[in-house]
Amino acid sequence: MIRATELVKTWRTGNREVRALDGLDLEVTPGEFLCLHGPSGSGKTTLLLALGGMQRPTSGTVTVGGDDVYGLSPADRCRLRAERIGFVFQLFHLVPYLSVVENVLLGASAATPVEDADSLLERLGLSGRGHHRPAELSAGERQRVAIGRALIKRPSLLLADEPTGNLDPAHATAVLDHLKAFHDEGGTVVLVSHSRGADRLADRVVSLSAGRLMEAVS
Amino acid sequence: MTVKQMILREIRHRRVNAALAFGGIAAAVGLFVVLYSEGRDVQRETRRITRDMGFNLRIIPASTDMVRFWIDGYSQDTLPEDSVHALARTKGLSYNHLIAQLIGAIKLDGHTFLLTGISDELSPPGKKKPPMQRVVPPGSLTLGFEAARHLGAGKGETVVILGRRFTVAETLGEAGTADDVRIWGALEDVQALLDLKGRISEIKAIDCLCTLPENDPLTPLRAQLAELLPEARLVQQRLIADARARQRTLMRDQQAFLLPVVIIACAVWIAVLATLNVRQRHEEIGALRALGWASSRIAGLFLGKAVVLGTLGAAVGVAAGAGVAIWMGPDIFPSKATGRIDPVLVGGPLILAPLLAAAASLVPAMLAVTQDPAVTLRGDA
Ligand SMILES: Nc1ncnc2c1ncn2[C@@H]1O[C@H](COP(=O)(O)OP(=O)(O)OP(=O)(O)O)[C@@H](O)[C@H]1O
Ligand SMILES: [Mg+2]
Repeated sequence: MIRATELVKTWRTGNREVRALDGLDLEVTPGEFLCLHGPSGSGKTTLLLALGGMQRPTSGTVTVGGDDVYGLSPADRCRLRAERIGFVFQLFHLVPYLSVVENVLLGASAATPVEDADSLLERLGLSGRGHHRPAELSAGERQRVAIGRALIKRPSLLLADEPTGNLDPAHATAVLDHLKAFHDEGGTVVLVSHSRGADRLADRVVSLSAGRLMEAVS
Repeated sequence: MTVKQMILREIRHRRVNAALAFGGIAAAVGLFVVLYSEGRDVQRETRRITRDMGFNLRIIPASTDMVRFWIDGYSQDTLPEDSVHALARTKGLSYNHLIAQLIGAIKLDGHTFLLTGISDELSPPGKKKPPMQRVVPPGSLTLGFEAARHLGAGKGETVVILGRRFTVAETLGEAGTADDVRIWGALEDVQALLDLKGRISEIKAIDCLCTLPENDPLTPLRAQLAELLPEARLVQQRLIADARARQRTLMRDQQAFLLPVVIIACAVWIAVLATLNVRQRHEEIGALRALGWASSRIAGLFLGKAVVLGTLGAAVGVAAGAGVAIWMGPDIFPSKATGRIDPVLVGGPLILAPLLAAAASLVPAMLAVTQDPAVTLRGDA
């Protein structure tokens, strides 16, 4: 269970205050596929980072599997991310100087055998690309590497921020299929996406507006 | 992926950044080694040159008629020979290279020469220095240029002075000073010739304060002498003393200025490159945080890189600097360059350069770990 309670995140630029999150409440049940909509600047990324222990809210709490994320020590919060949460970003954020396999293994514990990464890459349709650099891949392939990196540790929660935003429709579908596969195996997904395809996969679609949650769309 | 592997991969990937940092460290270390070892050669050379300028202190009898002293070039009065030993026994003396002299004018073949007896060189306890003046063994003489010419005597020949026979130990080239009409002998020989047993006319010395003229070096020297030898007075040859002091302080100041400048310039260079590197790697840092990397591990990527480049740079810098110092040093200082490198100059940079590089990268590394992930991971960057 992921629960955000009265989340507020304010940014102060000069003497202007931006409320990226404005008293937001959200519950995601284990195994749920939640799709987040909302106009640009409505706080979607901020919420995702806050759920994943990457962005301390100004006030409010986030619990993941019963742990108060921001009550944990920094080391425990790192461990939470390392073991239970996977992130996927719009711009992939692969490490440019590591090969595809190494990028995937970066998401795993040191004991993880290379074979795990290889078989995961095969499932992602990237067999034979393991020794390429990210720069040598297409955008769609890079995003699949990023998904591999997020999934190799078998997280319980996957947080994806517009992972298809930079992809053409065919690649976008492939990426969504992999998220679906993760969900089918019992994983919890919170996905920020505007695509219809994403809505169809989701158990629930919610919309953010000015840092607040709007009614469920479907 | 261990941090170490990632550091090495990143260095290979961003070659230009790494090469610039490495080159900066190597150049700074090389420069440091060259400056430091050449500085030491220059210092040694300077010490030799200033020493060759001669003694700058003359301790003469207090009763000396100073007008005659300056006309004759020596005191007509004498001090007991013991006084030089008294000085040499004194701990904490600000004088060095003590030599007792007895000088008297003698007529030979219608010409006047300065017969000069010199003692062995004495040093106060704990200040033993290599001798500055050649010793003349008893029974022999060293002849100044004009003296040798008039006496018509060469090295190894025998001359008769005031009825005594001496061997010529050495004849000197033209000095361009009163030394050309000097005849040097052992102090006890000259004392016997002049019938002044146990007496000396002056003590020559070098002050080891090396105080600049604006700091009034004479007063402390005179105070010390007044206490030890009240029957003596001090004459300082200002030109020599000032030149020595200025040259020495100049050398020290130059090193004290240049070496830190090299170090600071290198540190700034590394800090700038590390900052650029951190900025280049914002996305990577954000991704590693999302993967659960602790701040210390992320900082380790940057500090470790600094240590790696610092070590490599120091190794190459030491080798290059030592090479330059060894090959080119003798060309600059033909007589005195040692052509050897102080082991501290090898070990020091190998330990200190990585530490310095890490210290210079500390602030950029802190920047890397404290930056807000929201800035790099918002996606619509
Ligand atoms: N580091 C920051 N400093 C200042 N303001 C910020 C910062 N990060 C986010 N904001 C502001 O917070 C608000 C929410 O930003 P957020 O990135 O969460 O929006 P979003 O819904 O993800 O938008 P998009 O669809 O464009 O990605 C915006 O008004 C943004 O300008
Ligand atoms: Mg966003």
